[in-house]
Amino acid sequence: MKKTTAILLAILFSLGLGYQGYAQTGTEILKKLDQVMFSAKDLSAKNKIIITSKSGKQEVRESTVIQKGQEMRLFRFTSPASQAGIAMLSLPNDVMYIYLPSFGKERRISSSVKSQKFAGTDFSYDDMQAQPFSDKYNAKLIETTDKYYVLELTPKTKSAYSKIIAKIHKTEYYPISTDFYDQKNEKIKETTYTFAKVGKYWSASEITMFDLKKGSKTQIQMIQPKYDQGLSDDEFTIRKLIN
Amino acid sequence: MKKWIFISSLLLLCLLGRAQEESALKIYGTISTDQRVTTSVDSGWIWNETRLDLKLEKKVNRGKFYANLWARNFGVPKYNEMGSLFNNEKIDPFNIQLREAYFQVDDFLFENLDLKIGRQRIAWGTADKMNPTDNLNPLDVEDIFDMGRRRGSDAVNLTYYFKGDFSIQGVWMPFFQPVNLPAGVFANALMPEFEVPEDVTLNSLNIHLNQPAFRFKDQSTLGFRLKGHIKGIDFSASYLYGVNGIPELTQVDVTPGINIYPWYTYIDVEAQLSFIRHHVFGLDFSTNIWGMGFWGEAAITKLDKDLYVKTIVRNIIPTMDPTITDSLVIGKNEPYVKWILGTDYHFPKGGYINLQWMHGFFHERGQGELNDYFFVQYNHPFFDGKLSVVPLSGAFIVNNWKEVKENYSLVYMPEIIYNPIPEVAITLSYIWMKGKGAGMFSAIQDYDMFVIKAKYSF
Repeated sequence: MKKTTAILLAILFSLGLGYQGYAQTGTEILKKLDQVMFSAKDLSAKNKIIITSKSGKQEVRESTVIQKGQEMRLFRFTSPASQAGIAMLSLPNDVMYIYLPSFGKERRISSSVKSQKFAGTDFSYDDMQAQPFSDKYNAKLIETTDKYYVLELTPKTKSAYSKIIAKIHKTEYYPISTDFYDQKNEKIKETTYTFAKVGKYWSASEITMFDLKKGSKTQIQMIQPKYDQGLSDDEFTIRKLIN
Repeated sequence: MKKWIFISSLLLLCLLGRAQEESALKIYGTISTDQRVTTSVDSGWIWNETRLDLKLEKKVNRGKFYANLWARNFGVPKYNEMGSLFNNEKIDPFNIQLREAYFQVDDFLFENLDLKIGRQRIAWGTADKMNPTDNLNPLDVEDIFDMGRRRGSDAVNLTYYFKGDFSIQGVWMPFFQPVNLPAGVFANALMPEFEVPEDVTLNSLNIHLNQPAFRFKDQSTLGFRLKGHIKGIDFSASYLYGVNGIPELTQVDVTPGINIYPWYTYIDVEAQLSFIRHHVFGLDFSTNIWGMGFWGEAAITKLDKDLYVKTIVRNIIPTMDPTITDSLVIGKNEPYVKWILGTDYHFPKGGYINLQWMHGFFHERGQGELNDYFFVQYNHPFFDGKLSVVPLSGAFIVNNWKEVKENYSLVYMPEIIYNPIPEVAITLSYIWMKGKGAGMFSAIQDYDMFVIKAKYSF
């Protein structure tokens, strides 16, 4: 009897493992994507932000960014001069602060700002917030190809998007593209990602957001990313935001 | 002369900047112009300002140096005397202000203690521009429409950051700096009218200011602030012991007289204003509910001593004794509370609205003398923020709720801001004012105006 039970358990266990390896759920894939996106303990980099209008006119902005873990990010504009010094601190529990040098103090951002465009780019404040996808969205696997998985992401809380269709690399689990749909289920934005291996991490060297309604696009190029520098939690505080 | 000193300093700074390029001395700022033309009274220029707002910043390993300098052509030329043509300051009014100049040492003495020494702006409070708890720096109400503007103060500022979300700050300002009052046609906005009986002529009015003595106990200001974050609410509690920058009337000396031909009675008035020491206890919070931002501030002010006005009415016969009375204006045990509540919201399509209700403006004091101010602003961006339209912006002020129709002020300031390139902002606005009674804007309601501003950031 004991032998039969052991064999049955072994079969069930192997079937279970086999099933998981063959057909992962959307949630599992999304969590793996988060692991890739937030695999490093911390990150510091410079960003070049290129905003291209429908007519092809370009504006260039520059910023620095530091990030730790999955939910702490400090983003600061360094150019153009009219925006230099404006900084945004993203913290756990959906807390965001903005620092405007002309006010000389930080200000907490109301969550209604999240659907707004971030500093004239095609990204929203929500897009710029450091937060794992799996915390914000429920995932459903809707297609599997040779090269990628296609997930349908639906927001867990109130969002400007009704859903996101994300293509995830099948072996490395980084995002290839994401399509954003509004509440009328109309595709409004599209993001493409270029990932490159930096040391042991997959790094998003360029993210391009297309605004399909306006015909504009914003590219964020990450320059000289440095991983695992040992950034302390103290770097992600109001003290650092305002200095 | 001032101009040459400034230009030489600027050249020196640029050279210094080049020399220290490797250590990244940042030189940045704005060049702006602000022109206002009144449409109500003898239409003409009532504001002319061209400003170079220069900032210098250098970060070092554990701290930074920062300075902010304004160089301005401010005001209109005045040359109604021949001598004026020999005076550059009259034909080309120019001034320089050192707004801030401080250095900061991080982790001073021990970890998480930051020290800032020098002229600095220390902004307290969480409300939007109007902050009843923000009382350390002297008010700068030169431009009555640039509310909340304050000058830097010479200060020693220590802030200790606890692990987590709390910090405690201690500030000592050795020297007292008074308010600078509104300029030009706005000069009367904050000054109460001096009333005399109908059948008496005011022959002369001299106002003297009693400047605090240059002793620490008379001049210095001390402040503390505890700041934190608990369960989604940012808050701070503060205390300040210092001198109010807006002086109070403390003595009126009235000498009557008779003019024989033509026959009339008149008075000569000598008034004295003094700067009053006070305690200010402050509380503020900000949070986020249902996607909307909410904030509030309250400042309880308690005078250090009873505030009396001594009235001396001299007899028309000089040999007779004058009548002297002391009237209590505000007792030291009669604290008054100024407060503000506000909310803002970003609409999904891009609009932004900001509403604030304030009880007690900067210059008002005494529980019964505080007025109610309602501020509103709605801003809608177009073309990716290149154009911002502010169709709704203004204030409604009530001085007496029992007779609102006779005691109100209304200000409406629609605005358009255009950014042809990211570095340039051009603003066109119109300011319309109406009011009755002793309200702040009632006093200047004859000066509705067009405002044109242009700013270049470098």
